[in-house]
Amino acid sequence: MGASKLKTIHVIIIGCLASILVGVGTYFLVIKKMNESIAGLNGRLATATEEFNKRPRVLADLEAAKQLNRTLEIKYAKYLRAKMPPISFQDRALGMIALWKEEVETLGPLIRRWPESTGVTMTSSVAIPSPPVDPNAINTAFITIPVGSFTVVGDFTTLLSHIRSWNKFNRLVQVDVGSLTGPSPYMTLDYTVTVYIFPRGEAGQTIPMATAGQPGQPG
Amino acid sequence: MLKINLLPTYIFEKRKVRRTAMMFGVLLLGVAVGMLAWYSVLAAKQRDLTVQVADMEAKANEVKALEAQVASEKAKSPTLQGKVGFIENVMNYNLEYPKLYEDLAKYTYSRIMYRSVEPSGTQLKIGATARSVGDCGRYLLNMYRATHVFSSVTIDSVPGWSGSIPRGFDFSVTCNLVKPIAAPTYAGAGGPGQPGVPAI
Repeated sequence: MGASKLKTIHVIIIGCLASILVGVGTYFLVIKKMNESIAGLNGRLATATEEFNKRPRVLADLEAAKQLNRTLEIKYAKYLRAKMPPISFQDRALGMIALWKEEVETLGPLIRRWPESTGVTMTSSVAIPSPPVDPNAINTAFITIPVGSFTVVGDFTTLLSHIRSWNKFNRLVQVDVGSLTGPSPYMTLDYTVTVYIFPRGEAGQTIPMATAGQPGQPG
Repeated sequence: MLKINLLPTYIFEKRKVRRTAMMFGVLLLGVAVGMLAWYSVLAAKQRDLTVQVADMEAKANEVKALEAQVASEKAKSPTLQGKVGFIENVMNYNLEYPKLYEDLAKYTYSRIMYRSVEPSGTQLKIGATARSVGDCGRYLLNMYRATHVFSSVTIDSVPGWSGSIPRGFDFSVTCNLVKPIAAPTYAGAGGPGQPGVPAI
């Protein structure tokens, strides 16, 4: 259609179509994508802000956890110094030998002297069981030494003080009280003693050369 | 004076077309400029948001690192807590029986003599001697008052009359504890020891 044949109505139609095309095309091709991108960024911002808002609580939790660990470490260090022999199984063989010395040379005499030092008379004997001979079979995290039964004689108050005094002994001792018989001041008290040891540090590798002794063959 | 337009209509049509085309040209330009302005505003907003998101995500990552530290610190606690708790439980356990015996002594009538006291964690079994049934009765009434120590107190028997008033008799009492006494255990204790080497 030549320009001379264009009428006003044609121009109006073309003009409207062109405007709508430009407007709608620009919206769907550009504006809508921008809006979606902005919505995505807003979502990420909200998520990150929510995470960031936890900061005061997380800092408080971290401080509380560190404080708890510090308190526990201080308490444990205090108990290690006061109650535990310096035995470590970093080298299992050396640890086992240290345990031998502890049981045979230290613990026995210490335990034997203790009742008399607290005012009671001991009428039973003290025996520490044989220590282990296989370094690979020892529970390197926690050692239990069942010392056995004790019988002590004294008056009622002294006997009870004696039981309480085991908490001042320089090993961790559990006292299982048995029977109390007879009249004061010559009451007799039976109880059993168990010693617990927490070795220090982590255990080292097992020792390939170490084996437990085998029973002999029948003749 | 009368004005008569004798020009043909097609002469004005061209002018009208031109004017209309210019109007729509301006409209089209307006739409394009409007879209461009809208795009600029959105682009500026997107740039700002990108900077804000980068900043906030960096801060959020710091908080996540702190949370990992919290988890790591909390993971150290159970082992230490287990050991310290066990040591303190053993020391508290050692004080339980002396306290129980002291409580028993507080509620024991002075004219009763104990021959034996045997604890078992949940009970106390007492062998005693009384000079008369009155003394035994007073003793029992005292023991019934120890409600914070014993949940029940049971006496086995008192003697009857067989020709004369009994002068001294033995009896047994079983007392159930309100708070049973249990020895502490350590979760890290291993299995049974080697033969001949008890529990090490």
